[in-house]
Amino acid sequence: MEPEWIDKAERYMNGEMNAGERTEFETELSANAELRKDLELYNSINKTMSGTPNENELRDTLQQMNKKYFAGGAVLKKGSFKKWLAVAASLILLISIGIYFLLPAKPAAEKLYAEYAKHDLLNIEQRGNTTDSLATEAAGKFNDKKFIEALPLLQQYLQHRPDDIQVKFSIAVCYLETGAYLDAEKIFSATASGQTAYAEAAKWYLILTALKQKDINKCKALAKNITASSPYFTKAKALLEKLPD
Amino acid sequence: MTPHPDHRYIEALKQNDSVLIEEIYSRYAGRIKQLVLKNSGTETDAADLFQEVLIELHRKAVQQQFILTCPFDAFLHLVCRSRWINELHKRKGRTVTIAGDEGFNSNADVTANYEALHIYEERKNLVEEKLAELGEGCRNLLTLSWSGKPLQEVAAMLNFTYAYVRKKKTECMSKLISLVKEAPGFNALKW
Repeated sequence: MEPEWIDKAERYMNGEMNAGERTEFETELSANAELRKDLELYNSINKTMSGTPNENELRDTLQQMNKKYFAGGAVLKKGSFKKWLAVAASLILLISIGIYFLLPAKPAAEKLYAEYAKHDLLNIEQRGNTTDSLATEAAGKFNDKKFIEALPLLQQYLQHRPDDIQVKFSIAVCYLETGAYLDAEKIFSATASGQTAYAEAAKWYLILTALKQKDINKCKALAKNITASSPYFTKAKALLEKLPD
Repeated sequence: MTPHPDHRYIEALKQNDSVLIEEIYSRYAGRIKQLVLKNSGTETDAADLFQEVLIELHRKAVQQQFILTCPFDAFLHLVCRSRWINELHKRKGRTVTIAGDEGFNSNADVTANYEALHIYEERKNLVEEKLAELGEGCRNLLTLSWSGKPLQEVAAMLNFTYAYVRKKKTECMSKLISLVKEAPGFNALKW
């Protein structure tokens, strides 16, 4: 995988491409299985090696439990990678201490997003025709949270079944997860103002879209608009209470 | 795929639910401690092993779909056992056998759940192994970029320009991916 291609993949995933570049990249991906595999590998390595948004909190919990249930407690696992990670963590800590007094505390939007963005599994109805294998592959990628790989497959499927609202909604979720917020918002807004079974879910996802972009004010305003009859009312209310000022 | 009632423990690790996590410790930490102590390990080794396995389960649950379809105790035992064998193998430089498996039957369901996690661990091991073959600059840069810090911040920390760090990162990733793809065990990991 060439550095130029990796740069392209990063720009795509970070939502840094314009509409034309994005379409071109997606066309390239849907036409080339090898590229899709490479992208999957690139994405998988990044995911495997990165911590999760709440991993540090979990480590704190586990350290406490270790003290209680094991006489020796746990120590940082030996191993070269962990050593580098420890060095990196120390560097980050030192710099964080340095900038702590200069910058205001960041809102815990990322953590809240990780807590609330739970996507329903995608189960595309099998119709016994040529789109079945595409549907299966797309749903598999989506349910494995491989949104970047799922996106071109879902788009391809939608060309065959343009009225499939579930797939359209899943495409918006892929846009949200890959940082293409404007594209995500466009679909969620249209769905929210429509009469389908996805209207309330779309309103909730507009909240999540604002939350992922750390637009706390917008997130609050949208959450306050969720009515008591909505299945998302309880979640929206709980989120409102946790959102930073 | 129907989740086993014990899947709640996976969800607890995913959400950092301290009440259920304490239940995991109170129910299972003792058995894992015995397994390690009976097989040349210390209590600190046991704590370390237990913690790292739980972190691994958390990562797997957060980053990919993972549905536990078998009892947690048998699954946890199999994962910890396998990890401890690997650790002993590294320490002693030879194949080892292990005692303390009494009362645990690894049926097909438990093995299937273990395989789902095992492949994730194997992939991680391969990437770590290939990362070690890169130069120090690449190792530090990639490790920092995986720490969750924005690249602008990483650039400032390393005292480079953002443009340089970005270019360097793609070069390092390109090298790493080539090494991973060329590794003999790559195809078996079904990436």
